[in-house]
Amino acid sequence: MLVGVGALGARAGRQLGATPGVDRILVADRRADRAEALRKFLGAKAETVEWSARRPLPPGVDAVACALPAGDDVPLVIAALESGVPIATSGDNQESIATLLRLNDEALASGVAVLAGCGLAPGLSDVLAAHAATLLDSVDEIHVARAGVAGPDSEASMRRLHSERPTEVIGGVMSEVRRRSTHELIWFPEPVGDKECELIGAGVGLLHKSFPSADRITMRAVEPESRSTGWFRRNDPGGNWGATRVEVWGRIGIARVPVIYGAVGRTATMGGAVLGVATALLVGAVPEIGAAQPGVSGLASCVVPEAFLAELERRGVSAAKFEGVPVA
Amino acid sequence: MLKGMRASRAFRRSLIVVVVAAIAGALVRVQGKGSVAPTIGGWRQLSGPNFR
Repeated sequence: MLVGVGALGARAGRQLGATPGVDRILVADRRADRAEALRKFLGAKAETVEWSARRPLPPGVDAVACALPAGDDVPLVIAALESGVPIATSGDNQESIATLLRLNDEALASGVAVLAGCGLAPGLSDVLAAHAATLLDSVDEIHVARAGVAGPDSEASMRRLHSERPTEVIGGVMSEVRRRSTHELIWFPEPVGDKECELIGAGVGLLHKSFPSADRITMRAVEPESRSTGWFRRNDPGGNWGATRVEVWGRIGIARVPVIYGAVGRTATMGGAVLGVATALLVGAVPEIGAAQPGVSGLASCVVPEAFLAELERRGVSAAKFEGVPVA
Repeated sequence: MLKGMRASRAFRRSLIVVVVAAIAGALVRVQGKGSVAPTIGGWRQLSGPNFR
């Protein structure tokens, strides 16, 4: 069942439709026309359903893909837990991810897997961090950066993230930090290139859960353009380029080294592919990419990174590695 | 005579400061060695099966 057919959700639906082993897709959205458009695209495999937070999930659902605006995913996750159905959600809201992590005990008790933050970052960035960790003996620091938004709702969420106090892991402890001048110039893969990013808190909790030994974890993102320039921008922010960059520091023997991975593409396409593949993981449609255990976690905890990246590459989302020269 | 003693004391003090600063600098340099993020380079697209 796919709930939310905005910019990212529509792409996730297409990815699910192209996944062998996914027989039937129930599509729900508060706007019936959007749900109907995706149903038409997917053909006989899909069916539209009416669903609201007050209703239980329809019977016979094996997994839920949630692409609702950030914060609206919590009631759906609670409904999924009550129905005993695993769920993957793309929400990147700092507060809602924290709320989902607090539902971990309920998820464990009901034996349900909840995959939180299944978008570009958090999401693909978690997979890249897990992949980088396989090259290292131990992980000390993880620094994630993101550019781009998937659609208008994603843009609103990103704007909110930039107005909230960010969290980061300092000395192995989650800490809320003062919103000071935290701008840093980050080099993303081309064509996004160098962008000024500011600290946000989304997804730090998920990485902290996946990498409890890491002393420092930060997340940065490009602040969306000012509303005052909205007249000059494209109507579809999801059609814009997005990128993520993941810098993981750790040790190989006694040497302390960085591993830097990234990805670039259309933001909504990349996020939709990650949500689609994560949902395929939950239903066991692509068994080699990983297996989700009961509880609330990020993708880094449950994927086989190489297999997940291979599945994404088949769907047109490629990863890249930064190969550089340290200059003091 | 008094003037010469003062100058000698000031010289000794400045010598101590220089030695302490040199030791501190050497410690910082040794301890902080080898952890510089790559700043010059480029992106290489990864391909299977290992994506490395």
